[in-house]
Amino acid sequence: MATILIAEDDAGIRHVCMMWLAREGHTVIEAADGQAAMELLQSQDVDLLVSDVEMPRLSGTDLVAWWRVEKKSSRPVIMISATYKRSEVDSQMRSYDIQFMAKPFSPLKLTQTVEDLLAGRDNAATSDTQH
Amino acid sequence: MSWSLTKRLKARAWEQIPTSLTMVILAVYVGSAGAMAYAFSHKRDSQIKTSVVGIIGESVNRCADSIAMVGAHDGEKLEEFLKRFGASGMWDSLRVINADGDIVASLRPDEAGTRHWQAGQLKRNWPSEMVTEWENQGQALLERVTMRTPIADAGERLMLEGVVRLDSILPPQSTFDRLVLMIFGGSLVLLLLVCRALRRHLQPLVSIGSNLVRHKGRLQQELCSLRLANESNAVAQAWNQLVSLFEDTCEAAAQVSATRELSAALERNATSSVIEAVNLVPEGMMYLGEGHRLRYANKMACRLLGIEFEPARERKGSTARVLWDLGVSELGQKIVEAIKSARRGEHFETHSTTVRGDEDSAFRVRIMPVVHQERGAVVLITDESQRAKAEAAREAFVAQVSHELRTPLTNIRAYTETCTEFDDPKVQAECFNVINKETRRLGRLVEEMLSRSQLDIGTMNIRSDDVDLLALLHEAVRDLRATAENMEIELVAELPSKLPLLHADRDKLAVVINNLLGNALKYTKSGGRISVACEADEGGVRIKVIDTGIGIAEEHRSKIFERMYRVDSEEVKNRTGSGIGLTTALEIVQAHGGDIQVSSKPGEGSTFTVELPLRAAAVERGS
Repeated sequence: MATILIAEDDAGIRHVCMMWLAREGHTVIEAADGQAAMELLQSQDVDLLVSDVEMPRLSGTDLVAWWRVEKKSSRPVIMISATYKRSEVDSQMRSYDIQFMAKPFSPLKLTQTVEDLLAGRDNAATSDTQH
Repeated sequence: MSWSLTKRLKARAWEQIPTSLTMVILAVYVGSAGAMAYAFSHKRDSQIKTSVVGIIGESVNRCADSIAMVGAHDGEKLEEFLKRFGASGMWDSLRVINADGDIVASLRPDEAGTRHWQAGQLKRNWPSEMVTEWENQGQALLERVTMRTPIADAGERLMLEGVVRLDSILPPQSTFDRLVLMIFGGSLVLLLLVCRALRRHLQPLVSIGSNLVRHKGRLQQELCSLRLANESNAVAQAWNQLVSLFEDTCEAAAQVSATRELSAALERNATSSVIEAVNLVPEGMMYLGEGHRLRYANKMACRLLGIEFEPARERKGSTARVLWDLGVSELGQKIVEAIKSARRGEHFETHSTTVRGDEDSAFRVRIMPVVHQERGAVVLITDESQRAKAEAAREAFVAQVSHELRTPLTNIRAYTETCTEFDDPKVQAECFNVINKETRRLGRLVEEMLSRSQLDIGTMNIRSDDVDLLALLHEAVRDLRATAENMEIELVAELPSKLPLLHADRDKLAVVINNLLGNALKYTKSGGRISVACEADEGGVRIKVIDTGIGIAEEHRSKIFERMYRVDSEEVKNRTGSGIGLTTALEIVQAHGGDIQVSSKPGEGSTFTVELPLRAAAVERGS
């Protein structure tokens, strides 16, 4: 099981994501804005990040950039965005290897994506170990 | 010499022309007649004189031959012979001269023995000669003809000299001369009569000429008075007919002139109207003539470029030079660059570019070639600053609406799916509650969006009805309480037990209250407090939304109701928002005849007071 951080300023979305991922046995931690998420990422070992793009204090794109560049993390990231300018976010995040999910999204689809990404990470780790 | 003096002299000369002409004609005629008479007379005299001279020569020669034949060598015989020969009386002198120059014999006895010539003056071989001399006698010059011829077969060399005075043998005046003079005199008299008659006939023309000169400036008015009274005179009749014709012509010319003036006035008015119309065009318009010289710039172009241009004064020089001389703004320099860019493409159709001015201003510059009488270009400058701002606002609004709509939609979809996937009744109940809340949230957003759209196009309709304001405020607080609790903010309604019914648009007022509460929630930190209060009196109601949020600095308070305005601070930037919520609220309240006041202390909180009349005033908005 993995530790998943959900960074989302809307409490309802945060809560429903937490219910679905917790049902799969993951440990879910929440952050109401980007700055809070950054603090959690510094203090805890997070296996997967689910982040909104537009958040108070620190945007999701800045948060992911910091995690990738400053923390040099290659852990999977899922960005959920309500922005209609998807292409702009794509161009900003292209080099960071992230998954996008547009709002409104299906929590079932989110769960499946999380599982796929975690499985892929595990396979890569296994492959690395075998080599 | 001044022009007026020249004119007067010309006028005087014009008046004198008939008299001078007469004198000239007379002088020419007299000269010609005199010359003819003299020529005839001179010819006749010459012919007579030639004949006389021939007779004289012949007589002297025969006399000399006779002397030689009779052998008259001594003085007495010679003198007797000379007397008989000279008995005709034509000879002034008749003498025989020897080689020494002494007179041997003469018609005048006293001359005999006197020296006539100096010795040696005679030539050895005497030729016959004839000499014509003039002798001054008193007032008259007398012509003398002297004939000398040698006497042949004489014992000594002798010469016969005969002198004749022509006036003594020629008649003083012939009948022919008298006839010529009579004809000449008669012609002269006749000519004078003709000139007198001619002058009398020319007098009207002289009068006309004088009047034409004197009344040149008032020709048309004076011509009527120039009709000549002497109708029997052909010239006067002709002149009077001419005056009539001239009057008709003047009348026709006056009509043509009036028509032309009317046409010119209409043309001027048309041109003036066109210029006035072009000046009213809300676009800058410039016309660049040959060589792209600035020929015209309307008021808007002058305003945009920051120049002053007088349409009547064409500015010489290239556009760049002219604009530079006029001290154009930075925008003007950029437009000049755009014009230069268009000129580089010689056969450009229409060159269009957007020029960014100061701050957020934007101008669209279109340069269209004109190939008519001269090669030029029309430059249209459209101020698109407002359109650019509106476009930016639209994009921000769409982004905001997209975000705001997708969030409740995400909740509704996620909780609906959760409701079907989770069997726990508590979870399902929670899901229904969230779905209900988000659906209402979605409804408010749609209403706000519609209001926003109506405000943008100026067609917001206020559907006034009796509104239970107390219920509306309680409902708004209830809807947002869950959100406030999630944010750990205390949201309370401090409302009286009773409020008067308000005659207003319920849905629009709901948007106002929701926007103000949403704004308060956005800028109030966790642990803060938001209260909604309301008071009423005869004038209306005052709804207050009081928060303990970050507050608003004084310099921003007058601007927070401007569309898209957001305070430039870290605390505001960290909160999502488009900057249109307060604008929408204010416009709705103003549409009801009310207003929104704001008081605030940075760091302590803000109070928004909505003032509404009990009956919404009918405020006309837009079209």
